[in-house]
Amino acid sequence: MDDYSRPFFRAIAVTSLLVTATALYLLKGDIMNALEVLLTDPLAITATGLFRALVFPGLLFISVVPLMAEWVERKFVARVQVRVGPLYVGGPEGLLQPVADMFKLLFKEIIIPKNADRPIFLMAPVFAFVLGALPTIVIPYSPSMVIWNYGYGVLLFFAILAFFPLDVLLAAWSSNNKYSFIGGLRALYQQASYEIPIFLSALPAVMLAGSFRLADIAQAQSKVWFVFLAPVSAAVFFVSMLAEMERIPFDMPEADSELVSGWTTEYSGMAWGLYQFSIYVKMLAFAGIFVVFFLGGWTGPPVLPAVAWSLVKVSVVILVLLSTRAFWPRIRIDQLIRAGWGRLIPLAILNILLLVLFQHYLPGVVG
Amino acid sequence: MAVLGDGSFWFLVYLLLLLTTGLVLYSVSFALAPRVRSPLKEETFESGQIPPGGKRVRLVMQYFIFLLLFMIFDVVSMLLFAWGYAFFDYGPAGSAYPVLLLFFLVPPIYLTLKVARQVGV
Amino acid sequence: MDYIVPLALMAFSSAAALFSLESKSLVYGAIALAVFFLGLSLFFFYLDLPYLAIFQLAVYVGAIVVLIMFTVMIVGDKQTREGRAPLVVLGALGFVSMITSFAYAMEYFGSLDLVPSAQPFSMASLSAAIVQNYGAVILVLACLLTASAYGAIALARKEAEET
Repeated sequence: MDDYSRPFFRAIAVTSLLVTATALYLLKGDIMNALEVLLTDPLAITATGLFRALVFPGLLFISVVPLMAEWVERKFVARVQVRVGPLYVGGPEGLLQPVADMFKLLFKEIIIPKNADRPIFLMAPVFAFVLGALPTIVIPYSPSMVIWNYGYGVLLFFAILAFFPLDVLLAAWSSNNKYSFIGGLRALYQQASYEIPIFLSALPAVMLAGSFRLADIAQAQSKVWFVFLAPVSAAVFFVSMLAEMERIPFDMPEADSELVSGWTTEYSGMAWGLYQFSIYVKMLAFAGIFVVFFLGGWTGPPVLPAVAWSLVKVSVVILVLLSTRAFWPRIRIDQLIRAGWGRLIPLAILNILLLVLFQHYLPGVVG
Repeated sequence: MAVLGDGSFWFLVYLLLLLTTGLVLYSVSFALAPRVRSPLKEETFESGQIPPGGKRVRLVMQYFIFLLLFMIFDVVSMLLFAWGYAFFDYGPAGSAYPVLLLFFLVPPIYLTLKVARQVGV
Repeated sequence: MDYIVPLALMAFSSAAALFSLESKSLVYGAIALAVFFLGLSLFFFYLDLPYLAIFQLAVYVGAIVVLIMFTVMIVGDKQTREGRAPLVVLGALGFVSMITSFAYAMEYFGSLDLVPSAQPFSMASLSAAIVQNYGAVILVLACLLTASAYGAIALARKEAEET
């Protein structure tokens, strides 16, 4: 390590040690409790908070799903384009390719461009990762399988969503590159424009369930899924979701042929890796919330356990989200903004008005 | 801690865990990766050209109107969530004002889009 | 000891607010403003007003800080004068001591039982208030917001004609 990178390493390492120590101090009672449970009744471990935060809806799950999603995406897009995709790393069909990519990124140099604003430039990817993964805290996979069953979960999800444009704008500005900055501005316009359709199309789910708790919203769909009661809203939510995640056909901020990689142009190594990771974790969070809002969460015929139903639905939604990359061309920025304001918002409002009109007939079907 | 309601402890823990993961990945990368400084490498990317101009350029604010509109809609849609929470409790009469509110906000969108077209956006 | 959380939040928010005024760089000032709004929303969480806290986050951090930061970045981050970091610390400390003395005074008056205790927050009563009592107010708000939207459009149109 040379003199140039030592201060960054020192600052980041000291911060991570401090944060780890704080986490361990907070968790000391829970760790002892979990060990005791593990020794007496290993199956009861799934009921402890530590297991949820660390393993299932928590850290391990949200780390594994992006790697799997990346592999599925590469394979799927390759098949559509009559290629073979990853083939050599780790057993059949290149299953461990994403893991290999992660290790490759760990060993790559993080280049800090000239005249960049270093603190912001280096910290923006970490915040993007934290913000991308934080919404998964309120998403339930079964009535009890949720890290924080918060009474205002819907609002918390949208509040965390509001931080993304800020992070993108800071990352774009700090890297002192014209492509980055233009890409960042486009990302800002796009995320700002599509946040309103997301709000307005999520409103029917809250209206029908009469609660901000995501578990209550899923439970209210035990008779009819909300996708049948508010189909327009579901479609609007799905399209806005794609735009918020900046996936094709809305990958305007990183249009390769015009803006190189948009606001991630100057990022390399693990800094870029964290951004990539945050995009896929965000996809998991959005797929989870779409399932809870419109596809009934864990409800379904009792042939499968509740968690399995959730996972099946989330996988299907993620697959559909991934498949857009293979099938659709990119649209222009002005078309994108026109579509968001002129079409999606009126459609979302239309669905709300329809629900108000048929208000009298609804209580019978909402369980 | 208790003020945030049941389970807010796990919010703090989860936040710290995520922060730890990100920072550890970062510091491992800083410790393992080689680093060779060179003026050409640290030049900002501009498709192979030497970047002209000063530090940060000024750009056109084509879509600024939409950001202003976004602010208004943000406030309104957050207010609508308070109404949506008690949608079934007050019947059609309770929905009158929020629905009017929604109607009031549709014309500005189309006017804005018209103006944007005149500006050439 | 009961005051430790609000005092810490107050110190945090007031330090961030003062930093946003005194920082050399406008972008860092805007970030400090976002941190200030975050502190304010944590304060609302502490007061058991989750809806208000999340409203604060979504509207102020999500829209207003973004708008300010966007404008600063577009116009250019000018660093016109020196920052006054010691002033920030002094100001935060002064503010916190002022608030502490105020809090102790309030506790004294509170012990006299002059003020009726506040009701706990419930979302149902908030929506009842919005639907039943404040519907007309919200409609006036809609008119105001629409008027401001038209105003923004008129300004933009004027600029477009000039250029």
